[in-house]
Amino acid sequence: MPYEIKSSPDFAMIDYHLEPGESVVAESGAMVSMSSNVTMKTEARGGILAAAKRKLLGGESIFQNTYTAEGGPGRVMLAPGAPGDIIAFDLEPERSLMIQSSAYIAATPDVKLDTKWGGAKGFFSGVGMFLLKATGPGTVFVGSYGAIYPKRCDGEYIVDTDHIVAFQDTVTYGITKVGGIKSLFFGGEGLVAKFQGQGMIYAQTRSPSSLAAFLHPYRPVKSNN
Amino acid sequence: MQFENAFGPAYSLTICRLEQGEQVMAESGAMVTQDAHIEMQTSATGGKGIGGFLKGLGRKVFLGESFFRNTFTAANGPGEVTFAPSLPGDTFVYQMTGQDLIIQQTSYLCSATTVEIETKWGGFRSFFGEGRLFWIRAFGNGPVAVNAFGAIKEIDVNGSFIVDTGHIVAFEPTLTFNIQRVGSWFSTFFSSEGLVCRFEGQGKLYIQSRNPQEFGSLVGPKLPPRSA
Repeated sequence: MPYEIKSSPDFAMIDYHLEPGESVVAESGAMVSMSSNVTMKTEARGGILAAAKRKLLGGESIFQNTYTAEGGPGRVMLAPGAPGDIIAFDLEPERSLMIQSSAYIAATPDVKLDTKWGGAKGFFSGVGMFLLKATGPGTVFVGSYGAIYPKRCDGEYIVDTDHIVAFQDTVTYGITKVGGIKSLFFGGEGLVAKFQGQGMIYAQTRSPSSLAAFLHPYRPVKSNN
Repeated sequence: MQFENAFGPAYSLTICRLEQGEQVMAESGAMVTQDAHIEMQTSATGGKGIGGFLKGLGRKVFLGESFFRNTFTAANGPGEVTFAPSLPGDTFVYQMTGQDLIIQQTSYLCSATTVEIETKWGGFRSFFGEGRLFWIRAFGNGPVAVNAFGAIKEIDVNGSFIVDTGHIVAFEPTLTFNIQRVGSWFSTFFSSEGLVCRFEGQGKLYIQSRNPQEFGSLVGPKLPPRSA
Protein backbone atom coordinates (compact mmCIF):
# COMPACT_ATOMS: atom_id res chain seq x y z
CA MET A 1 0.00 0.00 0.00
CA PRO A 2 1.39 3.42 -0.88
CA TYR A 3 -0.07 5.05 2.24
CA GLU A 4 -0.30 4.69 6.00
CA ILE A 5 -3.00 6.09 8.23
CA LYS A 6 -1.21 7.48 11.27
CA SER A 7 -2.38 8.71 14.70
CA SER A 8 -5.64 6.81 14.34
CA PRO A 9 -8.29 6.89 15.77
CA ASP A 10 -8.37 10.27 17.53
CA PHE A 11 -6.35 12.48 15.20
CA ALA A 12 -5.84 10.36 12.08
CA MET A 13 -3.71 11.57 9.19
CA ILE A 14 -2.89 10.07 5.76
CA ASP A 15 0.83 9.69 5.02
CA TYR A 16 0.88 9.07 1.27
CA HIS A 17 4.09 7.85 -0.43
CA LEU A 18 4.14 8.76 -4.11
CA GLU A 19 6.24 6.98 -6.74
CA PRO A 20 7.94 9.30 -9.27
CA GLY A 21 5.17 10.76 -11.44
CA GLU A 22 2.38 9.37 -9.23
CA SER A 23 -0.46 11.62 -8.03
CA VAL A 24 -3.11 11.83 -5.34
CA VAL A 25 -6.08 14.20 -5.41
CA ALA A 26 -7.27 15.94 -2.24
CA GLU A 27 -9.98 18.27 -1.03
CA SER A 28 -8.81 21.86 -0.88
CA GLY A 29 -7.32 22.55 2.56
CA ALA A 30 -6.46 18.93 3.40
CA MET A 31 -2.69 19.18 2.86
CA VAL A 32 -0.66 19.16 6.09
CA SER A 33 2.87 18.80 4.74
CA MET A 34 4.74 17.47 1.71
CA SER A 35 8.20 16.88 0.23
CA SER A 36 9.56 19.83 -1.73
CA ASN A 37 9.57 17.87 -5.02
CA VAL A 38 5.81 17.38 -4.83
CA THR A 39 3.96 19.85 -7.02
CA MET A 40 0.41 20.97 -6.48
CA LYS A 41 -1.99 21.73 -9.26
CA THR A 42 -5.40 23.23 -8.53
CA GLU A 43 -8.18 22.38 -10.92
CA ALA A 44 -11.89 21.99 -11.21
CA ARG A 45 -11.98 18.26 -11.71
CA GLY A 46 -14.30 17.00 -14.43
CA GLY A 47 -14.63 20.51 -15.85
CA ILE A 48 -15.97 23.65 -14.27
CA LEU A 49 -19.64 22.68 -14.72
CA ALA A 50 -19.32 19.34 -12.96
CA ALA A 51 -17.31 21.05 -10.22
CA ALA A 52 -19.89 23.81 -9.81
CA LYS A 53 -22.61 21.19 -9.50
CA ARG A 54 -20.60 19.42 -6.81
CA LYS A 55 -20.18 22.73 -4.99
CA LEU A 56 -23.83 23.62 -5.28
CA LEU A 57 -25.29 20.24 -4.44
CA GLY A 58 -22.53 18.58 -2.50
CA GLY A 59 -21.16 21.49 -0.50
CA GLU A 60 -17.72 20.27 -1.50
CA SER A 61 -15.10 22.70 -2.80
CA ILE A 62 -15.14 23.52 -6.51
CA PHE A 63 -11.41 23.04 -6.64
CA GLN A 64 -9.45 19.95 -5.93
CA ASN A 65 -5.71 19.83 -5.55
CA THR A 66 -3.62 17.23 -7.34
CA TYR A 67 -0.28 16.41 -5.72
CA THR A 68 2.36 14.84 -8.01
CA ALA A 69 5.88 13.65 -7.18
CA GLU A 70 8.30 15.11 -9.74
CA GLY A 71 11.77 13.74 -10.48
CA GLY A 72 11.75 11.16 -7.70
CA PRO A 73 9.57 9.67 -4.97
CA GLY A 74 7.67 12.07 -2.73
CA ARG A 75 5.43 12.18 0.27
CA VAL A 76 2.30 14.14 1.12
CA MET A 77 0.37 14.18 4.39
CA LEU A 78 -3.35 14.88 4.37
CA ALA A 79 -5.85 15.48 7.18
CA PRO A 80 -9.52 16.42 7.51
CA GLY A 81 -10.87 19.34 9.56
CA ALA A 82 -12.40 17.54 12.55
CA PRO A 83 -10.67 15.39 15.18
CA GLY A 84 -11.37 11.75 14.45
CA ASP A 85 -10.58 8.71 12.35
CA ILE A 86 -9.97 8.05 8.64
CA ILE A 87 -10.82 5.03 6.52
CA ALA A 88 -9.31 4.12 3.16
CA PHE A 89 -11.92 2.40 1.02
CA ASP A 90 -10.81 0.37 -2.02
CA LEU A 91 -13.18 0.60 -4.96
CA GLU A 92 -13.46 -2.01 -7.71
CA PRO A 93 -14.06 -0.62 -11.23
CA GLU A 94 -17.60 0.78 -11.54
CA ARG A 95 -18.34 0.22 -7.83
CA SER A 96 -19.15 3.24 -5.70
CA LEU A 97 -19.04 4.59 -2.19
CA MET A 98 -21.60 7.23 -1.22
CA ILE A 99 -19.93 9.84 1.03
CA GLN A 100 -21.48 12.51 3.22
CA SER A 101 -19.90 15.50 1.49
CA SER A 102 -17.91 16.99 4.38
CA ALA A 103 -16.36 13.56 5.10
CA TYR A 104 -14.49 13.39 1.80
CA ILE A 105 -10.70 13.93 2.08
CA ALA A 106 -8.82 12.48 -0.90
CA ALA A 107 -8.76 9.87 -3.65
CA THR A 108 -6.42 8.24 -6.15
CA PRO A 109 -6.60 9.98 -9.57
CA ASP A 110 -8.77 7.38 -11.34
CA VAL A 111 -11.61 7.71 -8.85
CA LYS A 112 -14.54 9.61 -10.36
CA LEU A 113 -16.37 12.01 -8.05
CA ASP A 114 -19.92 13.04 -8.71
CA THR A 115 -22.68 14.64 -6.70
CA LYS A 116 -25.48 12.24 -6.16
CA TRP A 117 -28.73 14.10 -6.19
CA GLY A 118 -30.30 12.43 -3.20
CA GLY A 119 -33.71 13.43 -4.51
CA ALA A 120 -36.32 15.44 -2.71
CA LYS A 121 -36.13 13.13 0.32
CA GLY A 122 -32.66 14.33 1.29
CA PHE A 123 -33.09 17.91 0.18
CA PHE A 124 -36.48 18.91 1.50
CA SER A 125 -36.54 16.97 4.73
CA GLY A 126 -34.34 19.66 6.25
CA VAL A 127 -31.58 17.27 7.29
CA GLY A 128 -29.11 18.97 4.97
CA MET A 129 -27.58 15.73 3.85
CA PHE A 130 -25.58 15.92 0.66
CA LEU A 131 -23.78 12.99 -0.83
CA LEU A 132 -20.79 12.58 -3.08
CA LYS A 133 -20.51 9.46 -5.18
CA ALA A 134 -16.96 8.11 -5.56
CA THR A 135 -16.65 5.50 -8.30
CA GLY A 136 -13.69 3.15 -8.82
CA PRO A 137 -11.20 1.92 -9.69
CA GLY A 138 -9.06 3.34 -6.92
CA THR A 139 -8.96 4.25 -3.25
CA VAL A 140 -10.98 6.96 -1.56
CA PHE A 141 -10.27 8.40 1.91
CA VAL A 142 -13.02 9.61 4.21
CA GLY A 143 -12.80 11.16 7.66
CA SER A 144 -15.13 11.28 10.66
CA TYR A 145 -15.76 13.45 13.70
CA GLY A 146 -15.01 10.91 16.43
CA ALA A 147 -14.49 7.22 15.84
CA ILE A 148 -15.92 5.25 12.93
CA TYR A 149 -18.40 2.50 13.71
CA PRO A 150 -18.42 0.12 10.73
CA LYS A 151 -21.60 -1.88 10.29
CA ARG A 152 -22.53 -4.46 7.68
CA CYS A 153 -26.13 -3.82 6.67
CA ASP A 154 -27.92 -7.08 6.11
CA GLY A 155 -31.53 -6.18 5.42
CA GLU A 156 -32.29 -2.93 7.19
CA TYR A 157 -30.37 -0.56 9.46
CA ILE A 158 -30.98 2.95 10.83
CA VAL A 159 -28.41 5.72 11.31
CA ASP A 160 -29.07 9.21 12.65
CA THR A 161 -28.49 11.56 9.69
CA ASP A 162 -25.84 13.61 11.55
CA HIS A 163 -23.80 10.46 12.11
CA ILE A 164 -23.53 9.19 8.52
CA VAL A 165 -20.00 9.08 7.10
CA ALA A 166 -20.31 6.81 4.05
CA PHE A 167 -22.02 3.71 2.69
CA GLN A 168 -21.68 1.35 -0.26
CA ASP A 169 -23.92 1.88 -3.27
CA THR A 170 -25.30 -1.63 -2.74
CA VAL A 171 -27.54 -0.20 -0.03
CA THR A 172 -30.31 2.29 -0.68
CA TYR A 173 -31.53 4.82 1.86
CA GLY A 174 -34.63 6.77 2.69
CA ILE A 175 -35.15 9.58 5.19
CA THR A 176 -37.72 8.51 7.70
CA LYS A 177 -38.83 9.34 11.21
CA VAL A 178 -38.53 7.05 14.17
CA GLY A 179 -41.20 6.79 16.81
CA GLY A 180 -44.51 8.63 16.66
CA ILE A 181 -45.23 12.25 15.85
CA LYS A 182 -44.39 13.24 19.42
CA SER A 183 -40.88 11.83 18.96
CA LEU A 184 -40.39 13.91 15.85
CA PHE A 185 -40.96 17.14 17.74
CA PHE A 186 -39.77 16.34 21.23
CA GLY A 187 -37.62 13.25 21.09
CA GLY A 188 -34.49 14.81 19.68
CA GLU A 189 -34.05 11.94 17.22
CA GLY A 190 -36.61 12.93 14.60
CA LEU A 191 -35.26 12.15 11.19
CA VAL A 192 -33.01 9.23 10.49
CA ALA A 193 -31.71 7.44 7.42
CA LYS A 194 -33.06 3.96 6.94
CA PHE A 195 -30.79 1.79 4.84
CA GLN A 196 -31.87 -1.29 2.93
CA GLY A 197 -29.82 -3.96 1.17
CA GLN A 198 -26.45 -5.57 1.72
CA GLY A 199 -23.31 -3.51 2.21
CA MET A 200 -21.05 -1.58 4.54
CA ILE A 201 -22.23 1.51 6.38
CA TYR A 202 -19.85 3.78 8.33
CA ALA A 203 -21.18 5.90 11.19
CA GLN A 204 -19.28 8.54 13.19
CA THR A 205 -19.52 8.48 16.97
CA ARG A 206 -19.87 12.26 17.35
CA SER A 207 -21.94 14.82 15.49
CA PRO A 208 -20.73 18.33 14.50
CA SER A 209 -24.32 19.60 14.92
CA SER A 210 -24.46 18.41 18.54
CA LEU A 211 -21.21 20.21 19.29
CA ALA A 212 -22.60 23.38 17.70
CA ALA A 213 -25.80 23.00 19.75
CA PHE A 214 -23.73 22.62 22.92
CA LEU A 215 -21.74 25.78 22.15
CA HIS A 216 -24.72 27.89 21.04
CA PRO A 217 -25.69 29.16 24.55
CA TYR A 218 -22.10 30.29 25.15
CA ARG A 219 -22.16 32.66 22.17
CA PRO A 220 -22.24 36.35 23.04
CA VAL A 221 -25.71 37.90 22.83
CA LYS A 222 -26.21 40.46 20.09
CA SER A 223 -26.78 43.92 21.54
CA ASN A 224 -29.41 46.12 19.97
CA ASN A 225 -27.47 49.37 20.17
CA MET B 1 -28.91 -7.05 27.97
CA GLN B 2 -25.31 -6.15 27.32
CA PHE B 3 -23.70 -2.71 27.21
CA GLU B 4 -20.32 -2.46 25.49
CA ASN B 5 -18.21 0.68 25.70
CA ALA B 6 -16.40 1.00 22.35
CA PHE B 7 -13.92 3.59 21.00
CA GLY B 8 -13.02 5.05 24.40
CA PRO B 9 -11.54 7.11 25.82
CA ALA B 10 -11.89 9.96 23.30
CA TYR B 11 -14.99 9.24 21.23
CA SER B 12 -16.81 6.50 23.08
CA LEU B 13 -19.90 4.76 21.76
CA THR B 14 -22.16 2.62 23.93
CA ILE B 15 -23.36 -0.44 22.02
CA CYS B 16 -26.48 -1.97 23.63
CA ARG B 17 -27.41 -5.49 22.62
CA LEU B 18 -30.99 -6.31 23.53
CA GLU B 19 -32.71 -9.68 23.77
CA GLN B 20 -36.25 -9.89 22.50
CA GLY B 21 -38.61 -7.82 24.66
CA GLU B 22 -35.83 -5.88 26.41
CA GLN B 23 -35.89 -2.09 26.60
CA VAL B 24 -33.27 0.60 26.95
CA MET B 25 -33.96 4.23 27.84
CA ALA B 26 -31.68 7.02 26.60
CA GLU B 27 -31.14 10.73 26.79
CA SER B 28 -32.96 12.52 24.00
CA GLY B 29 -30.82 12.88 20.86
CA ALA B 30 -28.22 10.28 21.91
CA MET B 31 -29.09 7.57 19.39
CA VAL B 32 -26.39 7.03 16.73
CA THR B 33 -27.49 3.82 14.99
CA GLN B 34 -30.04 1.05 15.53
CA ASP B 35 -31.45 -2.07 13.96
CA ALA B 36 -34.51 -1.11 11.93
CA HIS B 37 -36.88 -3.39 13.85
CA ILE B 38 -36.23 -1.68 17.19
CA GLU B 39 -39.13 0.57 18.16
CA MET B 40 -38.71 3.98 19.77
CA GLN B 41 -41.14 5.85 21.98
CA THR B 42 -40.70 9.29 23.51
CA SER B 43 -41.84 10.05 27.02
CA ALA B 44 -41.72 13.10 29.27
CA THR B 45 -39.34 12.82 32.22
CA GLY B 46 -42.06 13.96 34.65
CA GLY B 47 -43.96 10.67 34.49
CA LYS B 48 -46.96 9.26 32.65
CA GLY B 49 -49.93 11.18 31.27
CA ILE B 50 -50.63 14.89 30.99
CA GLY B 51 -49.55 15.50 34.60
CA GLY B 52 -46.14 14.07 33.81
CA PHE B 53 -45.96 16.10 30.66
CA LEU B 54 -46.62 19.34 32.54
CA LYS B 55 -44.22 18.38 35.31
CA GLY B 56 -41.56 17.64 32.70
CA LEU B 57 -42.28 20.91 30.93
CA GLY B 58 -41.95 22.78 34.22
CA ARG B 59 -38.55 21.25 34.78
CA LYS B 60 -37.52 22.18 31.27
CA VAL B 61 -38.59 25.79 31.69
CA PHE B 62 -37.39 26.37 35.25
CA LEU B 63 -34.42 24.10 35.56
CA GLY B 64 -33.20 23.93 31.96
CA GLU B 65 -32.90 20.19 32.09
CA SER B 66 -33.70 17.72 29.38
CA PHE B 67 -37.43 17.17 29.15
CA PHE B 68 -37.81 14.02 27.12
CA ARG B 69 -36.19 10.63 27.04
CA ASN B 70 -36.56 7.91 24.46
CA THR B 71 -37.23 4.25 25.07
CA PHE B 72 -36.04 1.67 22.55
CA THR B 73 -37.72 -1.74 22.55
CA ALA B 74 -36.56 -4.93 20.85
CA ALA B 75 -40.16 -6.00 20.32
CA ASN B 76 -39.59 -8.33 17.37
CA GLY B 77 -36.41 -10.22 18.19
CA PRO B 78 -32.94 -9.38 19.50
CA GLY B 79 -31.28 -6.22 18.26
CA GLU B 80 -28.72 -3.51 18.68
CA VAL B 81 -28.89 0.22 19.37
CA THR B 82 -25.92 2.55 19.90
CA PHE B 83 -25.67 5.84 21.79
CA ALA B 84 -23.14 8.65 22.11
CA PRO B 85 -23.00 11.90 24.08
CA SER B 86 -22.55 15.25 22.34
CA LEU B 87 -19.07 16.07 23.62
CA PRO B 88 -15.84 14.10 23.18
CA GLY B 89 -14.96 11.80 26.05
CA ASP B 90 -15.23 8.44 27.68
CA THR B 91 -18.23 6.46 28.89
CA PHE B 92 -18.39 3.86 31.61
CA VAL B 93 -20.94 1.17 32.29
CA TYR B 94 -22.06 0.83 35.91
CA GLN B 95 -23.85 -2.36 36.89
CA MET B 96 -26.72 -1.69 39.28
CA THR B 97 -27.39 -4.55 41.67
CA GLY B 98 -29.88 -2.95 44.03
CA GLN B 99 -27.65 -0.06 45.13
CA ASP B 100 -28.11 3.59 44.07
CA LEU B 101 -25.94 5.77 41.89
CA ILE B 102 -26.25 9.55 41.76
CA ILE B 103 -25.44 10.91 38.30
CA GLN B 104 -24.83 14.53 37.38
CA GLN B 105 -27.62 15.20 34.87
CA THR B 106 -25.59 15.89 31.71
CA SER B 107 -23.55 12.71 32.32
CA TYR B 108 -26.55 10.39 31.98
CA LEU B 109 -26.48 8.54 28.63
CA CYS B 110 -28.68 5.43 28.77
CA SER B 111 -29.87 2.60 31.03
CA ALA B 112 -31.81 -0.64 30.99
CA THR B 113 -35.46 -0.01 31.86
CA THR B 114 -35.00 -2.39 34.82
CA VAL B 115 -33.07 0.56 36.30
CA GLU B 116 -35.33 3.29 37.66
CA ILE B 117 -34.31 6.84 36.84
CA GLU B 118 -35.53 9.60 39.08
CA THR B 119 -34.74 13.20 38.24
CA LYS B 120 -34.36 15.31 41.32
CA TRP B 121 -33.50 18.83 41.98
CA GLY B 122 -30.44 19.11 44.14
CA GLY B 123 -32.12 21.70 46.34
CA PHE B 124 -30.88 25.14 47.23
CA ARG B 125 -27.49 23.93 48.30
CA SER B 126 -26.86 22.93 44.66
CA PHE B 127 -28.44 26.05 43.25
CA PHE B 128 -25.62 28.52 43.35
CA GLY B 129 -24.82 30.55 40.24
CA GLU B 130 -22.61 28.60 37.91
CA GLY B 131 -22.21 25.78 40.35
CA ARG B 132 -25.83 24.73 40.02
CA LEU B 133 -26.18 21.02 39.64
CA PHE B 134 -28.99 18.67 38.79
CA TRP B 135 -28.89 15.07 39.82
CA ILE B 136 -30.37 11.86 38.56
CA ARG B 137 -30.85 9.01 41.00
CA ALA B 138 -30.52 5.57 39.38
CA PHE B 139 -31.59 2.50 41.34
CA GLY B 140 -32.70 -1.06 40.63
CA ASN B 141 -30.93 -3.73 38.61
CA GLY B 142 -29.12 -3.61 35.29
CA PRO B 143 -26.55 -1.53 33.42
CA VAL B 144 -26.43 2.26 33.23
CA ALA B 145 -24.01 4.13 30.93
CA VAL B 146 -22.54 7.39 32.21
CA ASN B 147 -20.51 9.73 30.00
CA ALA B 148 -17.78 12.24 30.75
CA PHE B 149 -16.30 15.23 28.98
CA GLY B 150 -12.71 14.00 28.65
CA ALA B 151 -11.38 11.03 30.60
CA ILE B 152 -13.08 9.41 33.58
CA LYS B 153 -11.24 8.84 36.83
CA GLU B 154 -12.62 6.59 39.53
CA ILE B 155 -11.79 7.68 43.08
CA ASP B 156 -12.30 5.53 46.17
CA VAL B 157 -13.22 8.09 48.77
CA ASN B 158 -12.50 7.19 52.35
CA GLY B 159 -12.94 10.24 54.54
CA SER B 160 -13.37 13.43 52.57
CA PHE B 161 -12.54 14.64 49.09
CA ILE B 162 -13.10 17.86 47.17
CA VAL B 163 -14.15 18.12 43.51
CA ASP B 164 -14.81 21.20 41.41
CA THR B 165 -18.55 21.28 40.65
CA GLY B 166 -17.94 21.17 36.87
CA HIS B 167 -15.96 17.93 37.11
CA ILE B 168 -18.45 15.64 38.87
CA VAL B 169 -19.79 12.71 36.82
CA ALA B 170 -21.39 10.37 39.36
CA PHE B 171 -21.04 9.05 42.91
CA GLU B 172 -22.37 6.37 45.17
CA PRO B 173 -24.85 7.75 47.70
CA THR B 174 -22.93 6.26 50.61
CA LEU B 175 -21.14 9.58 50.13
CA THR B 176 -22.75 12.78 51.33
CA PHE B 177 -21.83 16.11 49.85
CA ASN B 178 -21.92 19.82 50.47
CA ILE B 179 -21.37 22.65 48.06
CA GLN B 180 -18.91 25.04 49.62
CA ARG B 181 -16.44 27.77 48.92
CA VAL B 182 -12.72 27.11 48.89
CA GLY B 183 -10.43 29.66 50.40
CA SER B 184 -11.66 33.09 51.41
CA TRP B 185 -14.45 35.18 49.87
CA PHE B 186 -11.67 36.87 47.97
CA SER B 187 -10.78 33.52 46.35
CA THR B 188 -14.43 32.86 45.56
CA PHE B 189 -14.59 35.99 43.44
CA PHE B 190 -11.16 36.06 41.93
CA SER B 191 -9.65 32.58 41.71
CA SER B 192 -12.31 30.97 39.46
CA GLU B 193 -12.15 28.03 41.84
CA GLY B 194 -15.13 29.39 43.74
CA LEU B 195 -17.52 26.54 44.35
CA VAL B 196 -16.58 22.99 45.05
CA CYS B 197 -18.31 19.85 46.18
CA ARG B 198 -16.99 18.34 49.37
CA PHE B 199 -17.75 14.63 49.66
CA GLU B 200 -17.69 12.77 52.98
CA GLY B 201 -17.88 9.06 53.76
CA GLN B 202 -16.89 5.92 51.92
CA GLY B 203 -17.76 5.12 48.33
CA LYS B 204 -16.84 5.54 44.71
CA LEU B 205 -16.72 8.90 43.03
CA TYR B 206 -16.30 9.42 39.26
CA ILE B 207 -14.83 12.63 37.91
CA GLN B 208 -14.25 13.99 34.41
CA SER B 209 -10.94 15.49 33.30
CA ARG B 210 -12.56 18.44 31.48
CA ASN B 211 -15.27 20.91 32.53
CA PRO B 212 -17.96 21.53 29.85
CA GLN B 213 -18.63 25.08 31.07
CA GLU B 214 -14.96 25.98 30.81
CA PHE B 215 -14.91 24.66 27.24
CA GLY B 216 -18.07 26.59 26.36
CA SER B 217 -16.59 29.76 27.84
CA LEU B 218 -13.40 29.23 25.84
CA VAL B 219 -15.03 28.76 22.44
CA GLY B 220 -18.34 30.63 22.77
CA PRO B 221 -16.94 34.20 22.75
CA LYS B 222 -15.15 33.46 19.46
CA LEU B 223 -18.46 32.71 17.73
CA PRO B 224 -20.65 35.37 16.12
CA PRO B 225 -23.28 36.82 18.49
CA ARG B 226 -26.68 35.16 18.66
CA SER B 227 -29.94 37.02 19.06
CA ALA B 228 -31.16 37.00 22.64
